[in-house]
Amino acid sequence: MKNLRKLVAILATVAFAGMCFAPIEDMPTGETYHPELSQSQMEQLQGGGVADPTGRNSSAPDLNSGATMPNSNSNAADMLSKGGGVAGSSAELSLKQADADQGKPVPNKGANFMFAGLFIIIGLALVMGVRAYLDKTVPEMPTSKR
Amino acid sequence: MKRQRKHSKKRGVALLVTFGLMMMITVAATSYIDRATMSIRMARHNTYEVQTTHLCDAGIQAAMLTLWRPFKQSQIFADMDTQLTGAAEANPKISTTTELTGVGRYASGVIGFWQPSGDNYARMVVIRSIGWIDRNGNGIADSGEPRKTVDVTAEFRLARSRVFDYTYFINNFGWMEGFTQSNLIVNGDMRSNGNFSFLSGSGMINGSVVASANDKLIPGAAGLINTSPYKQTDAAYTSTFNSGSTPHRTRMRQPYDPAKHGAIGSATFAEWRDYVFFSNAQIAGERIFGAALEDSNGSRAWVNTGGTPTETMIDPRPTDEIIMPDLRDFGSTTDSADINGKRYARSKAFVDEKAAFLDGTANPNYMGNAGSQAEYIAGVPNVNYKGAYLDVWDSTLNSGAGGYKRVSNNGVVDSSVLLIGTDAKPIRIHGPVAIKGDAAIGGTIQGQGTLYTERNVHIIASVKYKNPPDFTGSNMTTMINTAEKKDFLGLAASGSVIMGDTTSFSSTYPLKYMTPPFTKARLDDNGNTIPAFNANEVDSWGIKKYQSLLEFDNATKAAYKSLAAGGVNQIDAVLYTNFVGGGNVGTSGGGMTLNGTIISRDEAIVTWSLPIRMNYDVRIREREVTKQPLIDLDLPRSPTILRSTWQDKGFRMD
Repeated sequence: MKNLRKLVAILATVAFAGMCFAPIEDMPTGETYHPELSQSQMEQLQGGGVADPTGRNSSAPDLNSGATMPNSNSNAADMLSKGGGVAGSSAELSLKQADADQGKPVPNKGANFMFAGLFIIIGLALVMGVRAYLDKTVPEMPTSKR
Repeated sequence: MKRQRKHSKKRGVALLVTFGLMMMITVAATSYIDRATMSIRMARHNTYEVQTTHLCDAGIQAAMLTLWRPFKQSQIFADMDTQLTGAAEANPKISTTTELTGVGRYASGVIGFWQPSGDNYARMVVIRSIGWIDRNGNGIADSGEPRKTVDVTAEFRLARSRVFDYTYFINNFGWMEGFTQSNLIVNGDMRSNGNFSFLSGSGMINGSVVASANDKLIPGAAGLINTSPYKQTDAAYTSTFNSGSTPHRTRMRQPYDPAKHGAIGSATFAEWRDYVFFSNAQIAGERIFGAALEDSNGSRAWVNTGGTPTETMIDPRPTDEIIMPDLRDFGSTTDSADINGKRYARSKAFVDEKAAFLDGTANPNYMGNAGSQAEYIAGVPNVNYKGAYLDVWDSTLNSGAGGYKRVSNNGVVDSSVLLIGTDAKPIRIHGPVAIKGDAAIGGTIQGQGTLYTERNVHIIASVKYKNPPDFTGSNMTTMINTAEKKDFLGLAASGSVIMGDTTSFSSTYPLKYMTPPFTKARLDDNGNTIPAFNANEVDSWGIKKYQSLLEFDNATKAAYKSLAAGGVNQIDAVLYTNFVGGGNVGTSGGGMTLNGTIISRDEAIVTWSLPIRMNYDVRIREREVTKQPLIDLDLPRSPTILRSTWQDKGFRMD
């Protein structure tokens, strides 16, 4: 059991190290230090330093990060930006409606007048109808003879 | 007859009573129905309003994403300017409409676009979104349909990147193993976009350590710091700082001293707090002051001087990932000068706008000076030129007497270049210089500038300032005023920053750490896999990624190899790369010192001698009071987006 735990610990450590980056290590065994150049040595190397611009293929930058690869996932953001989005006239017409909506709302006075007129006509018709009916059916009040 | 008349009267009364009752019943019934259905109508109205609000938000988000993705990728405004210029309410740009099934539709587009006056790093965008219930199914918002309109103003900005607040930043797992208090001394803050681990002991970290969650790494990182590293107390740090035997002590941050830097909370303190070291972190002015452990579990002050470490929570909020600026697109060397353009265009357009330094002395390179207008004076490179330039000493000029040669033309170097400087004849730089290919550099440098390379930066010998800053001194104003005029170098590579003699790299050191399986694949923002960096791959320039074009060029290969043989023991610079920062350093013995910052995606430094020292150059730190760093030499910027206003333009059903 104890050995098993040790093994697990070692495996975990190795696995952890395997996924890590940023090593800073000591000098490899068998190597020696190389002294830095003196000022005079460096001065002798100063010679303009410009490479031949036509010497190598320098026409294309290295864009190997893969950031321009086609999308493969379908997250919500993708769906929003690309999923079924239709550019052009429909959108513009809708935005124009939005633009038109920004004006002051026009009160629907015509309809109100129409209803008011309708009510008045109906009311008058009712009054007239009732009056005509009553005129026909209700006898006149008797007048006293003096 | 009489009876009949009486009966007729009764009938008239009944009619009137019936009429009145009917009228009352009608009014009552109508009132009841109206009251009974009002809540239904209000609920329906509210439902429509909520639905259309969310549709509007979806439209806003869709438009923002459409703009954000390419901006984040290109990190310039060129495409945005082309697409959005002329946007108006009657002439919306990038308009799009989408149906959200079962809910409704939205249409969104940009109705306003402008550049804030005098600000080349920002664009303001007004996005209009209309959300509606498409009752007739024609895909267009019609009058009579429930609809809502929202305008959002957003600011797209290329902001100074926060990666430059750290002396060590890695867009990956941060990992340091086997160090002790005496062989790794970091005087500055460290950060990783992933976990940060100290294994088998730790170095002396006199600054904050920050880790953040990152699901784009494989495997994803929870953003945790595994342990509390060693850190000096304020008293111990002060003692080290004041000791004349401390190497590079003039490049260390000052220890916090209330007498010099103001009491916490004071105006003086606000002015200097970002420039000093304070061991026991605390919250001051709603942000952390001092060295803290910051990760997904919050921010803690800590003490670890060799005994049992202690931690104290000071802010429970988790950290977040920092976006690295992207340097991949340099444009073409033939691009016209354009301060808003791509790298070459920007370098061509650069002019020094600083008329005077903080101490009041005139800036000789100021664009308004008569003496700064010409790049050459009588055929000799003008050191006071207002634009970007790069000079190296060429011993073959003037019949062997030597002279300075301007290798740049209008801020651009059209080929790879080997830069060698000595104390007497240093490399001279001013402004952001863009290089088509590699730059290999070693020796002494003078001036203030940044080298942008379309491929690699190779540091093949120690790089030292001729006039380095000195961060000591009892008067902070005097210290800063003096440091502002001292030398400064930024090295920013579209490829990698490689240190040491690439002609002697072996598969073990350092290439093992620059190739899979040590390097790992990752995901981009869209979830696509980015292959692991492999230094042994041949890139589009025709050589392996870690090699230098200059080691193969007939004009430079001999000098390159001779200089590289000496090794790298000191780097005075801010290093920035989107790929690997690494190589063999300390190969001359005596350790390795970085006075500046290293920022990379993968880090593969193999140090042949100890100790390693890292001293943060506070001059690139953005101060809260000014929102500007002391020296701002067009270092890479990060894209940001800020939604500034949300204006509800109203809900309508008419």
